Amino acid sequence: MNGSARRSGMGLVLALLVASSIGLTGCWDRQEVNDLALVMGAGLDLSEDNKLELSVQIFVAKQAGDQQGSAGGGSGMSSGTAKEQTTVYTATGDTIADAATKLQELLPRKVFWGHGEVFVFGEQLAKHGITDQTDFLMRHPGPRLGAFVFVSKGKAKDVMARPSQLERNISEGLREMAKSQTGLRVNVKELMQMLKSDAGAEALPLVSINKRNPESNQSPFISGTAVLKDGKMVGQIDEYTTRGIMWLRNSVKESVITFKPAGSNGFVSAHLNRSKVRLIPSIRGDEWSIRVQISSEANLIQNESGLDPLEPRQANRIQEGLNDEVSDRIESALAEAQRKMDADIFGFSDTFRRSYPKQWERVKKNWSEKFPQVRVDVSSDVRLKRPGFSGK
Amino acid sequence: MRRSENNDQAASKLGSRLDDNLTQLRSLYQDCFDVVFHEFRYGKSVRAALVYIAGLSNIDEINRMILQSAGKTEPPEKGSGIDAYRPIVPVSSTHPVSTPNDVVKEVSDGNPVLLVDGETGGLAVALASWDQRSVQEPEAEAVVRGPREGFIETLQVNTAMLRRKLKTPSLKMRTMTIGKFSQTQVVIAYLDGVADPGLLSEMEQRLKRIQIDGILETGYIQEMIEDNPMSPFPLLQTTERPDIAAAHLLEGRIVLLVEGTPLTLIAPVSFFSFLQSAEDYYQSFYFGTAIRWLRYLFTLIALIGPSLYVAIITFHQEMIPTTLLLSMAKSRELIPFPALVEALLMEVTFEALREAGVRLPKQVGAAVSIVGALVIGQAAISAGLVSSPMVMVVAVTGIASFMIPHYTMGIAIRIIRFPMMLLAGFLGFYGLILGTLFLLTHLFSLRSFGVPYMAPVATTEKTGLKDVLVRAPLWNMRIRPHFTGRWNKYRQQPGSSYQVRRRGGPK
Repeated sequence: MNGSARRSGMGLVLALLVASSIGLTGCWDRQEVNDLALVMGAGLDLSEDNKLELSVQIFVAKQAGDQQGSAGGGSGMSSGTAKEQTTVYTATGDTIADAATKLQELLPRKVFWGHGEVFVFGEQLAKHGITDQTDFLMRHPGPRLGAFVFVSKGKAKDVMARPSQLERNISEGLREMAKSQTGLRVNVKELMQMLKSDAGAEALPLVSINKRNPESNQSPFISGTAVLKDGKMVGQIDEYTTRGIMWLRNSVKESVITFKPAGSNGFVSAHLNRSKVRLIPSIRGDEWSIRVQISSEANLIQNESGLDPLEPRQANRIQEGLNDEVSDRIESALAEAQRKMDADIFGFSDTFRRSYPKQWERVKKNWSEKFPQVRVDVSSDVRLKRPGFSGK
Repeated sequence: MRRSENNDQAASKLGSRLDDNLTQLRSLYQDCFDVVFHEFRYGKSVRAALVYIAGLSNIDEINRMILQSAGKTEPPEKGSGIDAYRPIVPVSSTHPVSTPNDVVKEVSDGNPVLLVDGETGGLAVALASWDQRSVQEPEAEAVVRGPREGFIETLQVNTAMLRRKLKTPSLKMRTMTIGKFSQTQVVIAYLDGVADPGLLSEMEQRLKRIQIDGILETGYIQEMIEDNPMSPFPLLQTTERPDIAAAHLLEGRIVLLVEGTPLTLIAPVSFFSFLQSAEDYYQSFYFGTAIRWLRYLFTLIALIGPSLYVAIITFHQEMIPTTLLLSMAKSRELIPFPALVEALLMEVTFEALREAGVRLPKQVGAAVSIVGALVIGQAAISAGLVSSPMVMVVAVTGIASFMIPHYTMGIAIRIIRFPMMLLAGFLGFYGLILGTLFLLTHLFSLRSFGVPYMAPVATTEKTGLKDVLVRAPLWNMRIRPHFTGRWNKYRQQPGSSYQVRRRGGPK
């Protein structure tokens, strides 16, 4: 009797404690979804007076048919019209954080960065330097480290204001394009790693709006690579050469290569998969060199050359052509980045540091002088695995 | 005053004068119109009386076996004792009673008591018979494959059903009477040589400690003898299926059968046996295993489904895939309530609908389900009170709570869902984790008749996991569960499983 009374007394105390803990901690960080301004993507530009201009694309949850009143709630899960689902707000400040605070003043809802999946740096800002801005993206708990980063030709604000033809909005469109790996694909974390590495050079995908007809509705697309040195943009590389960069960065998983084999006048297209690139550094005396070893498998997908891929000798010619083509692409990327821009966007520095830590320590300081002198030998080993069979 | 007087009379002995005895009994049964005192004569001279309760005894048999023959039979000599009447009464079972107390007991059980003038004591005649429900399929524990019979309200029928499952003298059934007024008969069934003798004496002790006026259902006993009376979780299992009762007996557990209810109690039990159905063992073990996993998953959903939704949508929006969040945001746009209120509103409505559906007569039940579908379905959404994802969550949770095969556990889980929702609504995942930890700590501290409630999880009994994580093939489960069956370890001959697998059965 006594024991049970004491036990129920203890239970009461425990219940009180639990109850008070709920009351004390409260729900200070509770946020209903309909009190959030969901940032889908953000564009960062340099304004004319050298301030930071932040343009955020915000999801508009209100539906097109909301005038119908109460019935509107029912069709919530079905996606409405793709248009007018987002709106772009712009605020200017000394830093992103400052601009974001000012942005908050413009909005009735709390800015929520957790679903911002795209950050676009305007060309002017990229030339001015992006290191400080990246600090906000890393340090603030809101933005995702997995968000993709781009540099735009022209103003980032214009990119954010564009609609996407197929996706809900342009942020989603850019994200999907980055994921499909037709160009480079860099997220905040990788950008930070590049900025911190000894290479002193960064590569970001370049977004552009259709130049020929700026008024056209076509969505922005990835059109090459922006090359940055120490956070400052130094040049652009076109789509074709970008493929070479991707090869060197070992980020090509699949690709289609079209070329003319030696001694024929028709094209051959091959689909490459299981591509793998190894960078093997070596130091002989003062001569630093890197051997780029590429291995890949090719499936023939179109053959206009008249060569018979089932005949070993002719198949060999196709295979050699493939290897030459891949090497060419890499060579052109090297020519642009290594010789013209002197930007180590391929991670050569890391390779040397890992294999030759002692020598690296000595060269580290003047790597930008050493880098253009590094000799690169490309050896490509693409094998034609599946020639296909079309009857002849 | 009156009561003690009655007691004194009941304690005394029956005399040899019929009138005295009748007066005594009549005063006991004062104002009981259903008790019949029928006076008649044996032969020409010997006065006799039959005391019985209308509706509890077989009137036809009384007329035929006792009254019709009484006039024609020559009675034994006066003073030859009541036993001398036993051959005269052509009924298979008769036994003498000597006190008014005994008379009351027999009469209450439906056995008419014969009192003869000049003979001490009376003779109880086993002619009890009353209207009882026929054996039917247990509705609360339906199976597709398996026996269709269920226990009924009559104890003798139930014990007989159990005896038919286990035809061995090792099946022991001790009996007890509990309840001052209800005088409810309780049978403790166990398998001698399998069940733990200590468990048996513990059970008897706990039952003896019950001092209550009446036992109307096994629930009364369950609440009285549970190890932790404050726990929301059932620490004893109920079943109305003889096959489940027999299965538990075979694993060394005790089954309590109680007069007047089709539900029997099983002790000790583990948490996981509430998530198992008889059919798990009757169907293929692949199916049994898959169904169990499904049940575990949905038990979890029934417990924390709405809480998870509330926590994510109000605290952790970054955890939802973007496209899904956008759809949710759209449907939540016009909802006036916070997600927690929305969830509580819907869950309470759902529980109310369910309860209304259970209590209402079957004819009205259909109306409830139609209105219910409207209330927690389309109407609520188009009225702008709740969002469509919330309706989904509530519906899935509702289905999940019906996935738990044992009703008592289902209730417990449904009740706990509400504090979990509050915790999630106030503290987000932090609260959810807090609640879950509290719950787990509680679960692991529980005992059912001394056996860990969560056994075999987190105990040293590894083989028991074969019946929890999966439903192992029967030929593989050779050992009884450790905590209840270690007094008779093997339920299959050692090595027999090997023979089953290799040669299609023991030689």
